[in-house]
Amino acid sequence: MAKKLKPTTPTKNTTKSEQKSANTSPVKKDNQILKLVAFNALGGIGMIFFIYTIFHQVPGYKWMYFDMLKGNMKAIAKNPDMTLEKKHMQKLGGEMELLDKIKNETPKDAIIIMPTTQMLTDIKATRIQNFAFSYYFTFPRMLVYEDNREKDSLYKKATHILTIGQWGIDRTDATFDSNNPFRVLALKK
Amino acid sequence: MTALLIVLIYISGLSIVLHTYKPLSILEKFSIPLLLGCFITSLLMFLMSLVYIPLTILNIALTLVLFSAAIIGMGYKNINLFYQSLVVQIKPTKIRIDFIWLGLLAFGMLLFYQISLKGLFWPITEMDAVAGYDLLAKGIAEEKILTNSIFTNKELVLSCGPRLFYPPFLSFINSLAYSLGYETPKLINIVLVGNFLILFYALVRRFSGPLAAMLCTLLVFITPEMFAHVAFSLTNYPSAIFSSIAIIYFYIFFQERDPAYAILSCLFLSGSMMIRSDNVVFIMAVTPIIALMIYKKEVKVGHGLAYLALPVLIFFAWNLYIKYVIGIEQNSFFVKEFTWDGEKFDKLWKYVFGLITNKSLYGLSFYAFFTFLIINIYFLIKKDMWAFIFMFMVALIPYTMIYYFIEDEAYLFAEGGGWLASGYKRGLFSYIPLAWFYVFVSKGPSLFFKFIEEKIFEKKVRLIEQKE
Repeated sequence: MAKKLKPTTPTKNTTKSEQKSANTSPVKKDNQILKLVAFNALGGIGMIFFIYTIFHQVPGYKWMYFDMLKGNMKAIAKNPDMTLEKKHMQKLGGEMELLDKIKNETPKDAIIIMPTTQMLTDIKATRIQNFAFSYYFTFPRMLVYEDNREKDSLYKKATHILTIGQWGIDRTDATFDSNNPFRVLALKK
Repeated sequence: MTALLIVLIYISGLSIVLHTYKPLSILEKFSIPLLLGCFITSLLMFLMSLVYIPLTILNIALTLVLFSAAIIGMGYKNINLFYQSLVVQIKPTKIRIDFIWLGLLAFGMLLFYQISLKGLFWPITEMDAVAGYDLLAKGIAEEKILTNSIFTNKELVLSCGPRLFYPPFLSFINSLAYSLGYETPKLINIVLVGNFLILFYALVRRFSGPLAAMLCTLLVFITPEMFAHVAFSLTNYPSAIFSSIAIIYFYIFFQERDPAYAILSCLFLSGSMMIRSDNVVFIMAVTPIIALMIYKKEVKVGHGLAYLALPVLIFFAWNLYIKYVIGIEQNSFFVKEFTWDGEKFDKLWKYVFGLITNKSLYGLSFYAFFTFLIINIYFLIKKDMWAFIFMFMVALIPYTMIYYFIEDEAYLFAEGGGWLASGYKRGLFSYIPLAWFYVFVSKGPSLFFKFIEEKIFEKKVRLIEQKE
């Protein structure tokens, strides 16, 4: 007499191929797709809500995106070909024109005499009173401030001078017809 | 020449990865080389300076070739195995239908593109770079030596102040851009950050699912003050990159005991010492854990000391170089005689508390960290990630206390540019990736993301098994 066949339930001993076929059954697959759709829909909404909330409610993120990034993107789109000189002026003020002038109008090995601190203060050029700051933007040219004429051994080796109005012009041979109050001129030899 | 130099820098980093590739994921193998390559390049440039080899692009390229050849030569047998490991890891896997992950990635990439555009558009104007390490970079590029005319000009040194004496990582790396004729070296910082984000993602991914790793990486990236620094060329972001990766790799080493992680941690820690000397607090953070591992006979004394040797050596080498080769005695900002000042201590911690709870600076970073520290208190008692929290606190507390010993109190507490408002604030960047790493990898959130991965994506996620 033939043995009655009993339905078998999956046990721990079922083979890998049996498990695989169970996992990929149409019902299982449908459930999996449903889970993924639900997760992506609900999770997506949750994530958008989270990102939207922090970028609108938390001050730092708000500043970062709406002020800093958007402001800069607008500025860049407006002037994509802005020159380096203009960028310097926009970031650091009009006095950068003086440093760019030195850089553009003197050779790399020039030693330039800068006006006194008082004179720079009078023309509201406060940043370039800082030696290191000015040095960076004119490097490899060397700068020596009029205030340090006694202390700085470079003073005697100076080749150029940044003149303000009439100050410093007597030390140069240059003739000019411009009305520009600031000039970078070669010193008398 | 630019492309060749980048390739050589990458290969120098890759030569190290060749010795440590076994436990690394594909993303780690891809992102580590450039970060380590930059450190190796700066270290080699420093060694070249010590023996007065001119820092020309040709000399640097040749030194990189020699270094890479030597390191690859020591592990030439690994080349084939390394390649095979890549082939196995690159094999296409099941497509993951996760639009949230994709959305976060797209949003992150958009932000990265925009901040990179900003960084590349504007020239360097930050005072610390202008009157410090970037000025030195220009000097190195022009004169091809570290002891150049910037260091010999006493007026200039006085005007620059301590900014000029930072360890020379950024000065060396930026000088390469100037030597190659570029107007700005800002791309370097952007590339470092890009690599860091990929690596950080890969490290969180080790302990969590892709979604958790992506969200964690995005939250680190958008930390407001740090995000702004992607567009700058200051030491703070690179310092945060190297020190945080060093601590995470050390933590993984502590968990898994694979020496490859210790080697990587040591090199990243050494890299952080080439960027800022105050990263010495991270050496202080790992030392007790190494001592514990030596005590438990899990690490040999020699290996423990070898781990500490390179970062400590770099710390002392630079400070001695400044003192004896450059010949500059740095003025100390610290109190000459120690007396306890409870009022100053109180004021300092109140100021620090105000900083770390300032959402305009760090967004939700420290809120999330301390919240999850409380949420995880049960697991923490059961020693979940105790070594990580220990290193975090042991680094943070001495880092804060350094500022207690600054003599000039007026400048210490000055708003908008004082020691705390500028230096300390930016130094906290190193703790941001660590804070978010903890938030996502600690037991509580891990269980949540494990649930998502297993129920939705039917993927097994490994949780950290704590070592005592």
